[in-house]
Amino acid sequence: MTRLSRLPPRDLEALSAYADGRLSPSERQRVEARLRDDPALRRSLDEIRATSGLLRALPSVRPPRNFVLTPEMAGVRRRWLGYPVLQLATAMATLAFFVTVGLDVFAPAAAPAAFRAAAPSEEMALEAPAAMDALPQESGAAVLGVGAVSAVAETAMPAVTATEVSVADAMQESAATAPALLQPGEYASREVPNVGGEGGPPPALTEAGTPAPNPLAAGGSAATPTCEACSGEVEIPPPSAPVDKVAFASATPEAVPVTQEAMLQAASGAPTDLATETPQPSRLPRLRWLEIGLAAAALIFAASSQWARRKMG
Amino acid sequence: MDEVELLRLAQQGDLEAFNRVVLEHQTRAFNVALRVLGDVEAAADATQDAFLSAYRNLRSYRGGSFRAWLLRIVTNACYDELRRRKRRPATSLEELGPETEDGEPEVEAWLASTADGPERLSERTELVHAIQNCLDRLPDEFRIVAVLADVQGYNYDEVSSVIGKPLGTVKSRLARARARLRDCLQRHGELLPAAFRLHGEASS
Repeated sequence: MTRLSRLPPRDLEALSAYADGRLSPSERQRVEARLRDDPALRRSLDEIRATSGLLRALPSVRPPRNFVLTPEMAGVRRRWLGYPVLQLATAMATLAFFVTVGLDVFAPAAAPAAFRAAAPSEEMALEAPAAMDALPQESGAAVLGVGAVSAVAETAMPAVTATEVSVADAMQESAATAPALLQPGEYASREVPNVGGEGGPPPALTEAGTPAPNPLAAGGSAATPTCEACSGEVEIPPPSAPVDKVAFASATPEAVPVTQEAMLQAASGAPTDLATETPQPSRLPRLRWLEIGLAAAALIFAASSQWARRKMG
Repeated sequence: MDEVELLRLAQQGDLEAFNRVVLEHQTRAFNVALRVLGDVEAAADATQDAFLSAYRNLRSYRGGSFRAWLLRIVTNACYDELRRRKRRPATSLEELGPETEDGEPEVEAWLASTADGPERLSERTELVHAIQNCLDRLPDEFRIVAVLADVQGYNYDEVSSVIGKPLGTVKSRLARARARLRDCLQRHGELLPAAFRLHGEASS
């Protein structure tokens, strides 16, 4: 029995290609001439054909299962799309946050004297530009790099604490300015019971408290219009201090409604004073809320993109 | 919808379109893997890996024969599995064990779909087993060419584009693979069809 593998490689290749009809016409003629003269070569060709035929006759096997991809298997690509979107959102929110902080700090309209005078706000103003400098490279890295998300998250974290601190500062400031604005009204309301209860002359006032004269002098501008009004109606023209007029007015029973009126006016005087100051403090919290919102959004986006990355992993 | 359109949709991320292509090609892909690896489970895993890889890399498919493109991924998945086996020679020896006379359950499953009568079934089972056995003994690169050209019946050009080698290499490897297979099958003479056997006897 001939062993096919013992055939010269050239003959074997020629026979194999001849069996498949892959020889050039000249090669084919040469092989056919040799086949006519060599029965052993003919047997080898038959064996090649039989072997090839056996392989072709192998039954096609039905796969044990379908190989369709489930969305979970293929989902990598979708999450891969969601990930950069989340990264971009993180970068955008961070950018918007710092822009808002910048507006907050540098816009002159948004910064009242009280805010500017506060020491913590100066610290904020120092911190904010540094953060603004750091921002561009961070936002760029967030779009490009994978690890940048954590970087953005890290910068977002101190930013939030910074906002919280500044909000706390603002609250302290407004708490500090509010009593100052309310002072005239407070003193007025404190004085009226004092005066009305004792019904006494000016010496009683000095007994009530030492700080009384000074605040009165300070709040004089607020108090004087009301007293002008009451003096006009009650028609008692004493040459002494304005407080005396109020004291005298409260002493007379007919003047009681007038005093109430004066108190109302004094009370309404305080709100008008507040109203002239409030537009700036009320714009500030709105910016602060925006800052908090943006910082929170940046954090949420950063966390989501981290989650997306882990899911993708 | 034709395959070109389905592939275009699949490239845009349409998983359903891709899965229709999978259903169209999965039997072919699985059978190539089965004959190269000789094991149903390993072949199924390699086929699944190949389709997942095909989906992920679908953008790199730029027209031409999708079948050849896919089969190249399938053969690569088979090579991965073969490399894994070589790193664990103990299991590989068992899987490629030469004389397993008792029919493996998967062999029965293969033939459950054939229309042969029961008396020919065991005969065919043994023959299939013998052929697979001889295929398993071939060097990997010879086996892949033999499976593509003879078992699947692809022409030299298609085999060449699947394995990424020139036509001359395909010709040479196929000839050697056939010679080795013939010599191997000769030892299973009693299992071979009459024509094959008679010729073998006549030549001896």
